[in-house]
Amino acid sequence: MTANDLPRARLKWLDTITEAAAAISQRPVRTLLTALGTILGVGAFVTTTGLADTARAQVSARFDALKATEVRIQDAAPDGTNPFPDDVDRRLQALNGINHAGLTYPINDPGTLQPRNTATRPVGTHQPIPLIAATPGALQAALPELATGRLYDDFHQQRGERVAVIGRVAADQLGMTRIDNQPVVFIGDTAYTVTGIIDDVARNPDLLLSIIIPTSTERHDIHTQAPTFEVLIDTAPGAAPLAGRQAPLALRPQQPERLQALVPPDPQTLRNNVEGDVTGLYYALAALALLIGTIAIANATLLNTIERRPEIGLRRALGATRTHIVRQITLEASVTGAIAGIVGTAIAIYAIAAIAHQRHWTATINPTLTLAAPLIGLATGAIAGIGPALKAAQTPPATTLRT
Amino acid sequence: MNVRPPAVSVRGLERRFVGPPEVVALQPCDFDIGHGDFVAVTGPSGSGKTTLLSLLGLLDTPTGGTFLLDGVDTASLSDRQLTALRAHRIGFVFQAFHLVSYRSVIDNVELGLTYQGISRRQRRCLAGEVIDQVGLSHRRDAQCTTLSGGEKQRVAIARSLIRQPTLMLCDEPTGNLDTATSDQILDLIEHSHLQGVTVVMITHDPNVARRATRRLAITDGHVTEPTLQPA
Repeated sequence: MTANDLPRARLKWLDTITEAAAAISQRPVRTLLTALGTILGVGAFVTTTGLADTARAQVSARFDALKATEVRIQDAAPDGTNPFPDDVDRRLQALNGINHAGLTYPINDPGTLQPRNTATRPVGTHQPIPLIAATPGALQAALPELATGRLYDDFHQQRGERVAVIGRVAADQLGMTRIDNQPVVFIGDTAYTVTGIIDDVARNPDLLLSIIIPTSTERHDIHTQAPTFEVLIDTAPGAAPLAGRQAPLALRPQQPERLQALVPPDPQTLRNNVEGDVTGLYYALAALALLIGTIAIANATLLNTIERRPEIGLRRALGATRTHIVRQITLEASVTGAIAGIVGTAIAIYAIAAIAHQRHWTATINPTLTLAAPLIGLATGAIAGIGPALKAAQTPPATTLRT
Repeated sequence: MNVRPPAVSVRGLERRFVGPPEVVALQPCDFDIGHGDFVAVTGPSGSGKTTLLSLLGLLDTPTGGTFLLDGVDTASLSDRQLTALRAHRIGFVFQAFHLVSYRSVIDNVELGLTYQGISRRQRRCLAGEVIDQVGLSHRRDAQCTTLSGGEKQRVAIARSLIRQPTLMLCDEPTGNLDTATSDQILDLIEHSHLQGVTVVMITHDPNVARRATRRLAITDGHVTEPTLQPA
């Protein structure tokens, strides 16, 4: 006989898979302990990246919702006259991207108006309640929340009806909490029917302190002198710059330079910086989590391999080559890593959804990352498993059988 | 005329473990083992019996001397060729059984053929036959953790027999068993010997050694061959 006469030791791939599957499935506790590091690592990785995406979307939404949807048009050369046309609301709402728009200005009280809830004028000096004239569009552009009643509308505006909406603080001063008994406020000697009480506003917080009446009514009944006219516009997210360019032309086509549009600065750079900071932080945490997971699975695989040294020695005695041993242990670690990746991803998605729900955010999960996570687990397992596998394969069988 | 070389031929074989301190586990030794011999290697604990068996089983590499297996100088073989020899020519039975604990009896027996590239169906069929031979048909699907010591050793013998080895190396095969069970195990080993398999069995029990046809003694790493007294 010569050595070349002998057939080679062979292990079919199907048998490698069978052996690996048996080692994984028939020792579930050991598999779970090995997988735990990867579950935590991949889970933390997906959670942190998912939260990064969610937080970034939230930052973006906040920027869009608050600053980038508000435009104000002011008189660039005030001369006491109203530079705006009567139909501000109609002209601006015809423009693309504008939700609500309207004219508003404070009413100067020379001391004769004395807003109050009775016909009788008060004796002595009192803290006056501010008066504001606003078109229905301006009221809506302030994004009010009503405590009760309703806002006045185009009908009241066109007819110059004597109606008023009052802010919450002004309502407290007037002792007014309900409107079902059709309360009135007196401005000068004229009664105005209160249609609603505003509880809160997103813009122009001075509305909460004031009594607001339609501009047409103000011009007919009061005609205040030299007020500061302003148009308030609420736009769709991202439409503010366009509205700022178009509104002066729409309102005063013959002399648009008379009007000055105050558009919030484009928050893109700031947003990108904030998003970059948030994303960078979360990705750093994600990388750290994955590193810890890799070390954990490497440690678990090493301990597992040490524990299985007699089995590895036996397999070598039965004819397994070093390559067979490395192949089987690496395959086991890879499959364990992939399973752990799937489990970790599932847990992470629940965690992201739970955190987003608790924070009232919209959960944003990158599907590419979610689909890649089991592959990350597999790669983690393979990388972590190859070292212990090589070490086990290189140890002489006589040594491993003695342990 | 071609003369068949001995199954095992050892010349100046030694094994040293570098220290410190350096340990000579097996002093240089010479002996031959013919085909079909049943050799018992006796000696006290720590005398070098298992080291000798590891060298004969190609599980360890000698630090000196030559070892010819079926006339092939094992020192000239690559790791792959040594592995192929183990896979196709040598059967092992260990004192600690060395079964894969999380697998069934038939899986463990089948493992003996897994590295020979034989199909799973054929392995399964042969494993069933060998399990019948060792009297474990009723336990073929049992988990190894549920077996008694004697049953475990029978599984180990079945795993060795299924490979149809030319050389069977047994390391204290009855070391963990009671007398009655030991006799059953020795019967199985003796049966293999009668089938033509060369058997080398390590034991420290003289009664067990008496079952062999030839004896080697080892003391402090020195191998000697005592003269057998007629029964």
